[in-house]
Amino acid sequence: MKVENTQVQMRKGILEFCILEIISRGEVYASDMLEELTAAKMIVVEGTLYPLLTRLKNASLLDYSWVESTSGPPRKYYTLTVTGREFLDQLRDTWQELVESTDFIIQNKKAKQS
Amino acid sequence: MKKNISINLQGIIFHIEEDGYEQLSRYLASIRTYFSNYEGHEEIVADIELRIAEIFSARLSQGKQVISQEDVEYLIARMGNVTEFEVEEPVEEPTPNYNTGYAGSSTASAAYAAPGAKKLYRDINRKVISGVCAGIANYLNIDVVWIRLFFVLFLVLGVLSAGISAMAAVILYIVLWIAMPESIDLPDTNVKKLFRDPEDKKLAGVASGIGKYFGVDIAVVRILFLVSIFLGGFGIILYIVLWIAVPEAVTLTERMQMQGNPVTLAGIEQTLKDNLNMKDRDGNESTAAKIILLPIRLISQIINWMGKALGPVLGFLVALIRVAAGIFLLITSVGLTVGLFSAFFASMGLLDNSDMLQFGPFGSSVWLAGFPSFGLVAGLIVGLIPLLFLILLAIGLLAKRFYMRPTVGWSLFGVWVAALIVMIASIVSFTGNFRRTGELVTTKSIPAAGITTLDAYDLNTEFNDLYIDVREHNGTDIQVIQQIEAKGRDEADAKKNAAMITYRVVQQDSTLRFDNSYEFKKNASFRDQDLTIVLKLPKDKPFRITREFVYLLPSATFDQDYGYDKIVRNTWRAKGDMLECITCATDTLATDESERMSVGNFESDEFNNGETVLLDMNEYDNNTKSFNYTDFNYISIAGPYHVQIKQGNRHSITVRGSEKEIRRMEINKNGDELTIESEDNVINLFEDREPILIQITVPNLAKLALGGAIKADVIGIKTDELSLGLAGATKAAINVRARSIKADIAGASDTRFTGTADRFDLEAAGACKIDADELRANNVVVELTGASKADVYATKSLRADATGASRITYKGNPGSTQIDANGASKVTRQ
Repeated sequence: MKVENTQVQMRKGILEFCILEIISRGEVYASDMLEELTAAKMIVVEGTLYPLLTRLKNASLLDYSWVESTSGPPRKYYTLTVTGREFLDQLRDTWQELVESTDFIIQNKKAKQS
Repeated sequence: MKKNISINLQGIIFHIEEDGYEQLSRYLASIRTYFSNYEGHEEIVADIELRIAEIFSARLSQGKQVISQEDVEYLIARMGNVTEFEVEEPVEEPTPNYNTGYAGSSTASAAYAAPGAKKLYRDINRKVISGVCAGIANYLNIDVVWIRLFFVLFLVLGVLSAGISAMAAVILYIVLWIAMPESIDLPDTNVKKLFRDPEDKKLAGVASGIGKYFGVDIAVVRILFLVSIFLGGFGIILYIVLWIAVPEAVTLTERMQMQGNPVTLAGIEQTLKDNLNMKDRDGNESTAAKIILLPIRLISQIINWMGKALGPVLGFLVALIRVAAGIFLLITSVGLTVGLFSAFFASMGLLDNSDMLQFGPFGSSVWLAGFPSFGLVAGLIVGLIPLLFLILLAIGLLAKRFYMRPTVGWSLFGVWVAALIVMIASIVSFTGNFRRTGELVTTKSIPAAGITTLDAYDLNTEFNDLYIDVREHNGTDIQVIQQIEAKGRDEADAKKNAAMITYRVVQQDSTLRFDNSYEFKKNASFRDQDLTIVLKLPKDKPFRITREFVYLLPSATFDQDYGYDKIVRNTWRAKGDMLECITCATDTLATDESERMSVGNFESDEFNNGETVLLDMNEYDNNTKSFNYTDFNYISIAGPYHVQIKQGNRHSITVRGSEKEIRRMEINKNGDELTIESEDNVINLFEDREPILIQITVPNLAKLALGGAIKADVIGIKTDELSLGLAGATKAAINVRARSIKADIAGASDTRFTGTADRFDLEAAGACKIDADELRANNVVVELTGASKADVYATKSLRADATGASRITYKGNPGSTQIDANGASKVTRQ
C-alpha cells in the first residue's frame, strides 16, 4: 500500500469542497482558481481541475457564463447554483465534523501518551 | 531559421515552431484519449485548449511572436501530463446516475485490462443518434466515419431504389439500436480519422479532409471530384454523402487526428536521411546522399511547380461551378416559388378566368370549389418551405456560407410536417365529395312540326365528351332527355352537384341546335359531372343533319359508314336506336370514290370517331406501292407494321414506306388468304425503323390474324361473321358491325372495339387489355385468363368467366348473366 494513494484519496474529496468554497465568494474564472489551488498545494498539475469543473457543472452545482477578455481567449466565469450552495453547506458541516472527530482522536492519543 | 505552423486554439491563432507543434499535437492527442471516457469530454478538452491558449498568450510579447518548443514544455509541465492526472485522480469516480447502467469503475478498468473480451456496445460518448455506428467502429477498430458512410449511402441510394435500401438501412439501424447495449466507457480507438477540414475549404472541406486523410495533395482530390461530376454526377452525390457523414474538425485535436502522417516526399526524404546517416563529418550532405535524394527532390520540384500552376486554374474552376450552380438553383427555386404563389392565388379563386393559368378545361375555382382553404394554405407551406431552403442553399453557394440556424431549420421542418398533415387531411376530406353518385334526369319536349334540321353549336370548349343517343319514338314531339351524373357526399348532394351544369338546346326557325358541350354555372364545382343526351325523334319524320351534329353522334348511330358529305346531302329518320338514310339509295355520288380521293390525307375520324392507334398520315413515307391481289377475305399479317383495313367495293392493297422496307415485305395469297410477313425472322427491338403503313380495302372480311408488334385500325367492317386472332404486342382499334364476332387475343395486346354485334365471343389470355364497352352486343361470352382486363357491353345475355388476376367490367343490362370469377379475378358491373 502506497502512501501516495491514500494521500490522493484524502485530498480528493476536499478538493471539490475547496473549489466550491472558492466559487462561493463570487464569479471566478478557472485560471484564478488554479493560482489559488496551486498556491495552497491542493493540486499539482492544472489539468486535473478541468474534469472536476465539468463534473460539478454537469451535476448542476455550478453554472458559468462567457466573458470576453482583452488579453486572450474568452473566459468562463463560474458561479454556484442554488443546489451548489446547499451542497456546499452540507460539505461545510461535514468538514467541521471531520475536523472535530479527527482532532478528537488525535487529542485522545495525546491524552493517553501524556 | 525554423518553419512555423499556425494553429487555431478555440478561435485564437498561434504561430508555433514545427518541433513544438509535434509535441503539442502528441500531448493533446494523449489528453483527448485520456478524457475520452469521461462524461462531457468534449467540454473538458475545450476547456483545456482554452487554458493552453491563455498560457500561450501570456508567454507571447512584442518581441516574441512564436510559440517555441520550450513554451510547449513549460505548458506541459504546468498542465501536467496524463500519467500525472492518473496519480492525482487514480480512478474516475462514477457519477451516481451511471451506477444503474454500468457496474462502476472497477468493471470499466477491467474492460480496459482485457481487450480480448471485446463486446459490441453502443458508444454513447461519440453518438450522433444512438451510438450504433460509433459502437461498431469501436468494435472493429476503424474510423466511425466509414460506418456512418455506409448507412448514409444506403439512405441516399434509397432515392434510386424506390426507398428499399433506405428502408433496409433504417430497419438495420433500429434493430441494432435495440440489440446493442449502451456503454459510456468505450475507449477512443487510436486511428486516423476522416474529418472535413474547415481551414482549407471551397465548399464544406470534404476534399481537403480526404486529401489530409490519405496524405495526397488536395488538388488531386478536387480534380477527381470535378472529373467525376462530368462522369454522370457521381461526384456530387459522393460529396453530399461525405458532407453529411463526415464531421468537421473543430478542435485542435481533431485537426491533428485528421492530419495523420501523410506519405509526402519530404517525409520520405527525412526518413531516408534519418536511416542512412547521410551526413559527412562537417554535417553537410555527402555526395552519395545527394545522388540518392536527387530524384526525390526533382519529383517534388515538379509537383510543386504543377501545384503552383494548376492551383489557381483549379480554384477558378471550382468557383465557377459553385457560382453557376448557385445561380441555376436560385433562378429555378425563385421561379418555382413564383409559380407556387400564382397557383395558390388561382386556387383561392383570386386569379380565376385569367388566361395565364389554366387547370384543364375550366377555371381552377371549378376544380377546387369546396376544397378547404386552410388545406390550400397548408399546401402552399408544404411547397414553400423546401423552396425557401433551396433559395437559401443557392444564396449559400454564392456567398460561400449557409445562413440558417439549426433551430430555425428544425422549426421550419416541424411546420412543414404539420402543414403536410393538414394538407393530407384536407385532401382526404375533399375526396369525400366524390363518395356517392347521383343522377338528374330532365326531359324537354319540343313540337316536331317546324323542325327539319338538326344542328350543333360549337362552344369552343375542350371537353366535348358529349354524345347524343338517337331513339325512335311514337310521339309527335321531339324529346330531349338530359341525364346528368355527378358525385357528392350523399345522393342528394350529388343531385345538387349534377344541377350545376347547364346544357342548351335552341330552336331557331326550322333548326334545332344542340350545344356541343355543357357549361358550368357560376360558382359551380367540379364533381365529375357527366352528361348524356337522349334524343327521341318521332317515327318516320325526315330530318337533315349538319356535319357539326354528326360529331355528337356515336358511330353506331349509322348503319354503315357514310362520308360526311353524304350524310349532309341526304335526309334521315330515326329507326330503333339508329338513323336510317331515306334518300341514300338515289344518291349517285359514290362514297368510295370520294374516300379514295382523300386517301392522301386520310382521316380515320370519318369512320369511327377518332378511334385510331395509327400515327398521323403525314408521318408515313410518301413512297407508295400497290399490290394487285384480289379475292381474299382472310388477312394474316405478322411483323412490325401499321395496318389499316376498311371495307370497300374492290380489293386493294397499298403500302406506304421506304423502298427498302417495302422490299423486305413478303406478300402472298393462298386461296382466299392474304399473308403479309416481314423477311426478317428476328425482329430487332432497338432498331428505329420508319413505320410502314399497309392499307387494305376488302369487300368482305371474314377472318383477320395479326401477330407481332402491329398497330392496326380496322374501320367500318360490316360482315356476317368475323373471326379475329391477335397475338403479341398488338395495338388495335376495331370498328365492326357483324352478326357474330369471335375474338381470340393473347399476349400483351391492347384492343379497342366499337360497333355492334349480335354475338360477341371473346377469349383472352396473358396480359391483354380489351376495351369493348362501345361494342354493343346482344349476347356476350367473355373468357379471360392471366392478368387480362376487359370491358364489354351486353344488352341481352352475358357469360363472363375470369381466372387468374383478370378483371371483367360490363356495361348494359343483360337479362341473363352467368358470372364465374376465380382466384384474384373480378367481374363487376360498370
